[in-house]
Amino acid sequence: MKIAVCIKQIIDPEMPCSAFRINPEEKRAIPPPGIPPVISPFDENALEAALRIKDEHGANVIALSMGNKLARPILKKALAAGADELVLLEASEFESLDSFASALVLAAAIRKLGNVDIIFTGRQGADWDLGITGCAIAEELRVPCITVARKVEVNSNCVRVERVLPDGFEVIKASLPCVITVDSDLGELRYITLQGLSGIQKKPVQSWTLSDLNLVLPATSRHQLLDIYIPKHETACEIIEGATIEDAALNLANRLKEKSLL
Amino acid sequence: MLLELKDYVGDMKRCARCSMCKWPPLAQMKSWRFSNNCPSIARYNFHTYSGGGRMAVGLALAEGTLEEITDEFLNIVYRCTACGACDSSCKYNSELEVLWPIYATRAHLAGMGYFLPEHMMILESLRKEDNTLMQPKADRGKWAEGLEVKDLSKGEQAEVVYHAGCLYCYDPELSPIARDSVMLLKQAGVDVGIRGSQETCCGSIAFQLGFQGEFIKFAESNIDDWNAAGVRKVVTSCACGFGIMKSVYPLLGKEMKFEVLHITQYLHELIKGGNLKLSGAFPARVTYHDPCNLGRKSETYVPWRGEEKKVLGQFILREPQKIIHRGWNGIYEPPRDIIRSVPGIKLVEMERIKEYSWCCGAGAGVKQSMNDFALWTASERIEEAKSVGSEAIITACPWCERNFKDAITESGDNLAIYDVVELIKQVI
Amino acid sequence: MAENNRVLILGELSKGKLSAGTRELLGGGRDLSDILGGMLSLILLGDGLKAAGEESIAYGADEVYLAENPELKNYQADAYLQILETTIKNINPEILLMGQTSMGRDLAPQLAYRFKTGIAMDCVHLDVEPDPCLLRMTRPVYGCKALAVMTCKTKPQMATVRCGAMKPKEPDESRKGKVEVIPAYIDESRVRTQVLGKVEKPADGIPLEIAQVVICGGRGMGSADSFSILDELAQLLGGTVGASRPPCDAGWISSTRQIGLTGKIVRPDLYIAVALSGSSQHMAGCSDSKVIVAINKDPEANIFSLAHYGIVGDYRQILPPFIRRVRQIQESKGEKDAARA
Repeated sequence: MKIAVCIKQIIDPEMPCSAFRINPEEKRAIPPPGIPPVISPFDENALEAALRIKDEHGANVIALSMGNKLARPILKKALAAGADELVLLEASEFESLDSFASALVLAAAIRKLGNVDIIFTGRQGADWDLGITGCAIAEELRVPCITVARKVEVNSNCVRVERVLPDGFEVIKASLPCVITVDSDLGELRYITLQGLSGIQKKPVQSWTLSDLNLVLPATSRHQLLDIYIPKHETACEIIEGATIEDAALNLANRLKEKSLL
Repeated sequence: MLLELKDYVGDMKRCARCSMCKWPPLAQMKSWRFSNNCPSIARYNFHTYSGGGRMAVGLALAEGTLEEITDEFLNIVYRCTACGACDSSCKYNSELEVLWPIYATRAHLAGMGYFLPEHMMILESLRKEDNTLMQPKADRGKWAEGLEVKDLSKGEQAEVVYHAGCLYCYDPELSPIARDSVMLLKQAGVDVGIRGSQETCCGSIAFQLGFQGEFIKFAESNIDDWNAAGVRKVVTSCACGFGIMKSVYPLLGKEMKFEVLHITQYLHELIKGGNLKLSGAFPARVTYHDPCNLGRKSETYVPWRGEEKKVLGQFILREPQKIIHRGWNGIYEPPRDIIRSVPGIKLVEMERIKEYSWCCGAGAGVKQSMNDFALWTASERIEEAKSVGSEAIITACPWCERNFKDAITESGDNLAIYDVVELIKQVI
Repeated sequence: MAENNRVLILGELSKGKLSAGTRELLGGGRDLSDILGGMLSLILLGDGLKAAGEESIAYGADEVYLAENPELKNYQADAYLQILETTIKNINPEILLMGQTSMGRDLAPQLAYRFKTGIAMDCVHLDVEPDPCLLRMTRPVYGCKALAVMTCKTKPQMATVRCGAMKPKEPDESRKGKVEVIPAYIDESRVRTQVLGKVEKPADGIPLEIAQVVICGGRGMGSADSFSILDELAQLLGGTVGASRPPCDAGWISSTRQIGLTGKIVRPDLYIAVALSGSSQHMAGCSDSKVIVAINKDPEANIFSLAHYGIVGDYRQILPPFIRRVRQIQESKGEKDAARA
């Protein structure tokens, strides 16, 4: 079985709030020093989904990542976790593509890999939070797409997927090949072990550019970014104090009672 | 508070390649055998591994003259325990910062996403389990099982909080030292508590590896916890923890409503004040190993911001005047005083001591990613200890102790290693 | 073809009536249409749609297209796509909107792909310029740390809108509009997935979305056991307990209790955030609460810039006396009520 997992390198969504800055000319976040980029958390869930299938049925899991100036130590984490190969789609043209163009490139790479049974992606990239790329890859490859999966099981040539709903889940069956976007409810990526790390050296890492994929990128993006800004919050928080911390707690209760909130 | 490599370009450019960073102060050298002070260049022998070499490396990164970050480049950068010996030696001669450009280089690389695979494990461990040793968070309080001490995480209050540190919490061979530390404090009448399973890493390794975001999160969390608990003093037996709390925590700009002490400082006060009496004898010839983070790296670093004026086309005058941290104000005497006050003991000094001490080899991620380098560095120190005829090395840091013990196990030596606390416990 | 400036909404049903989200879209869509001087249209797919169709006119629609087919009762991507592709092409709207719902996040990207147009997902604000018609879509990015304003030059300009970002109009029964039944034939051979069943996990206690009081625990809670004190407080105040993402990821509490960008969005009268830093992903789920109270040991925690009341300190020292006092207040209130009776 061949499984492709699309992983995206993004700036760390868990960085301390004080470190987050926007570059107004380039209209994007400034990578802060000392805070490494990470694999988008939902993509890690996607990798976990693939690895669970590999554990149970055996599979060749290939991680793909698209961008420019990709940090190999970060992406090799996929290999350390258990992926068998890493394919880097690296080119300056891949720097700021919109979701549909990204899907075009990823789909071309998946076609080049050939005979891929399942394509996993995270439900959304934790930088732009759009959730479009997975569905667009499915459209490019003309295969069905199941979104926000919390559990994936493979049975002969079909998948049985539990799809998250607001109060529970629905069970969907689809035949392979298909695209599945994964939600955090599936479970966190397994811990990296020393064994996994030492195995990285033996696993192949390929690098493909635009010409390797035989692609022409669309001339324009499907949308334009007018502005990006950090909104200012204007609540004046009343800090309740007291002679001791217990007093402060009592004062809080009294204050809320005054405001008829209790 | 984040380190920016470009802030150090001035200093990195001014490295004149005088090579002082590779030797202890010339007046203090006593033999050719033990005349190195940088384990990195002593082992790997190329200029790039020395303090001056690292300035060139940092400058290349800052100016963008490197075409590619190769694996060999990463090995060069990370084959360094950030011990600060180069920094201390350079400052005998000049006023350049050497250690902080090293930190900033690592931060710069980390920001780009470049580091060693073992560092990835440490990062994951910090993010998921709040410690650097890939151990479960839930087990953090196990070292204190059966120890009758206040648990601040359960809402109890105490004047002093004892911070054990990741290694003391999770290494069963070393945990007794943490237990002994707490018991000694209690015996001396100190109102001490611990944070048990809610204690988290001090962030020292994260900082030294360049993971500033993680460091800030852990440091701020610890400061908030200790402020909220209302403690007056924070005491730790881990020199790495002490060093980072003293030298870097104040830079975060958060009010620290407590004093930070190392266990040797505190025990020294208690012994002088008569709260602890050393009665037993310990007839042995011992030497003391100064942990880098307790000694030269424990001064509070003050980043200098001001104007540089060139005088006579050559000399740099700084306005306002820059405070140079040479490592002379580290904690050197209290542990020695404690050792000297043990009846029957004979303290001999090694050749490289105090601010020009030789590193044990475990710091800044080296123990985790290059154990061979760590053990080699430790074995050099063990040779030095044996050369002055000592039967035991006394130290004050679990990482030093761990690394020395591993080196002795590997070489089959018969040198004993004790922490100051272990020594006191024997003679109390 | 003349500019028709039409705004088309893809609606959803909830228990046979228009969903709350659809009513909100109609309210917001009505404002956009008024500026554009065009029609506000709605499409509904499902079974037994007539009542909902008339309801939507009252809520602001000018025309309603109903695709009636029992097979459409439950959302299935391929079936819906077939019908919507042709219908929307015929209607040829300038702007196409739907809710950021379970169906919306699944369907919208695929529709946008087929129409070769762009789409902004999870928008919190829309405004429009009439001539030429340009929709400005504001949406949160970087885990809600920032807001991005986007436009799309191709037709239809598509957006999915976050629940609660728009307000429904008061229903006006006197409004007139056109209700049209459209062909709803489904080519089964093009349906590639099958819904085998649904599992609904009943919420124990009051569901988060309708609770008036929510007590939410964050990473600083420290362990699963520590949530019991939050349960106690919730019981006392007649509310329910939620969590930010870290406790759910750590397994301390069920992920159905997660409040945030990828969890539930709550709007209680009282929201008490305990040991919670107030990261933007989380605040996206609770910022519409009437009153936010924060308890955190970090005086610089983000939550304090968004809360109305706060205490700086360890929740383990604060909550027990707080709960005692609340209990006292409840009891004396009870006595007063009994005395009055």
